[in-house]
Amino acid sequence: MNLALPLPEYGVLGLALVVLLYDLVVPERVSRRALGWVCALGFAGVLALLLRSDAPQVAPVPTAFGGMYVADGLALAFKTLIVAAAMLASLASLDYLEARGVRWQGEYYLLLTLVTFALMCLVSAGDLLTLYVALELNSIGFYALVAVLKGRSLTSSEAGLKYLILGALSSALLLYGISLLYGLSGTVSLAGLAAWAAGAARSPALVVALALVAAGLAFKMSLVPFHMWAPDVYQAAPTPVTAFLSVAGKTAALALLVRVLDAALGGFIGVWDKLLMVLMAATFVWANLGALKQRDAKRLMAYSSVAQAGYLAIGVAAGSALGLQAALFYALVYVFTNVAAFQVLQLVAESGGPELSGLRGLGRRSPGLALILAAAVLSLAGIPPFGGFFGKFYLFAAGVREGIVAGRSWLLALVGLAVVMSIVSLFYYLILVKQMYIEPADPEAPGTGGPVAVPLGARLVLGVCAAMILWTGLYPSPILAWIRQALF
Amino acid sequence: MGLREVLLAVFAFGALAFALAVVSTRNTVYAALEFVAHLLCLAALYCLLDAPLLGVLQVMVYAGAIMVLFLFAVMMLDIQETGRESAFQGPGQVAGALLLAALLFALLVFGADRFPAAALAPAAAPGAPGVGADNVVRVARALFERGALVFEAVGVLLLTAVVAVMVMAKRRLEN
Repeated sequence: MNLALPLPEYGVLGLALVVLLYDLVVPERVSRRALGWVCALGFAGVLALLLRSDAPQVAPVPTAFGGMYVADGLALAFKTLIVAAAMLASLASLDYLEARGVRWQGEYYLLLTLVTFALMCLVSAGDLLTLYVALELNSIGFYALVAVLKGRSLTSSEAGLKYLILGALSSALLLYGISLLYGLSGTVSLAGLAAWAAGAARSPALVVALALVAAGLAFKMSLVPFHMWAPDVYQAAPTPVTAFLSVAGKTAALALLVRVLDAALGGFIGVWDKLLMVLMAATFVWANLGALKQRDAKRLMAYSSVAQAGYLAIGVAAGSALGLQAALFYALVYVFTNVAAFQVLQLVAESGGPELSGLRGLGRRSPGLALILAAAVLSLAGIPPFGGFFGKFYLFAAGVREGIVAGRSWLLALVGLAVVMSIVSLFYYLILVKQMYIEPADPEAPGTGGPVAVPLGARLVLGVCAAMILWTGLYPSPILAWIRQALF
Repeated sequence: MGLREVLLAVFAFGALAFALAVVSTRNTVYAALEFVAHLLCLAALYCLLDAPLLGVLQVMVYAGAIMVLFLFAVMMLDIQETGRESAFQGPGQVAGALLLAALLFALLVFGADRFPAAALAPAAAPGAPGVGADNVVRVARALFERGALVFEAVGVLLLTAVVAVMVMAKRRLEN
């Protein structure tokens, strides 16, 4: 057993201990703002470690703890995204928490590191037991992070409670599914399940088990109709938490879908792909049409995130190596794009309020911020030269290819629907752009006069994200090579 | 009748006596302590029946953790005595309780006769894999080899839950 395999996880746990001790030792009157920097630096260190390690290129992937922890390329790639998102989230939190005088800053950063640890364990899960414990760990951390503004914002507490109740329900669904699978196969190890699925007969109990597992995972991924929590939680949570939840939570859920459905239960693709496609079709229609009538910028982005989850799932439904690569590339683009969009909205909301109208005149007041937000939403819509274009292109291509090669006409129809809905999404993304550049600023409105203040942490976040949006759009081949190497 | 049977009888009667004491004591703290004694008797029964792991878990989880919770709740709510009256009120309740007990006993006596013995797994010989002390070794191996990561993750989960509960529940201190 190789105990050194989970080195990145140990690093994040060590960071959590540093945060805990800092909060304990430093007197209470001293601001906890420095913790944001400590976290960002710690995550940057772990990120460097992850980027330097090579994905295994030969067949038996290294595992630890009797196969309960898997260190394959998939885990490595997703962990890199998660840790990068955690680093950006800590940078974005610095001034956000300070401006609101949040009392629980030490605990906030501690929960942020612990949630990151949970997500890393989640994508490395080689066993349904590891998967479930890590999923619960990350959920509990997120419940508290969402509600950390309690006392200042009632909606934050409400969102935390909603998330808790629906999250517990989804955990129960997943657990039922897992227990049924265990009852049918006699194993909880994902490798064991894959061996069993290759030869097992289909039964009604299997369909129920797959439906329950898919429902539990779809909740984490916020696919319709398991999305009910997403708009409220995304709108009311502190913006850095929203950004982190929407990118890291979703990419980890994507990794789970890949691991559980594609890898372990790939033998039953004929059973679960119908289930998944119904969810995805509902997601495309509901999220994109629902976003059209939103007036709150964060809520609009929440609907957009639900829609993006649907696109990501195309790679899983395709079930091919190409689909997986496309999903990973899209997840990478999505992390930086969404973080950039939420960061700009967070800065603008400080002065102009959360409504869409707060963006008016931003193109004149802060041209840099407006440009980054415009690039981010156009990337989400899939317009070149931004990364989102290649992301959607690869995903749709993988779906169409799999649909033609394997003769799965349902998949072709689904990709067609995704393309149509992606055009619909362009409309609401352009509403944001229109607010910034075309609508005249209301001279009476508070805080719409001068340029928006951008603190150092936010500057770093925006710089990294803008660079990545452009890089993935203009010169994606090194990133694609990295992905191909990871998912050999 | 060997020592084992004698001890079985002693702890079985002890468990019964303490269970009766729990429902008939007026003082809730005493009742909780008698419940601890009852659980310890059960743990001793498990150990005598070649299931030492179950016995140890019984002490750790029930007699330890859960009872501490009970005692805390009792003390925080400051319940001293539940009224003046005894737990059993009137002859009707006593008769009902006796009737129920008799029914249960009859069910056991007659039911055990009809139960197909073949449905039960044959009793394993002492020292066979999975029996007695070997059970503890196996559980420990599973816990600290395969399950070590999950075990540690559960520890982190508890830490997360403690911090989360504190953030959620603690009122803002006024300076």
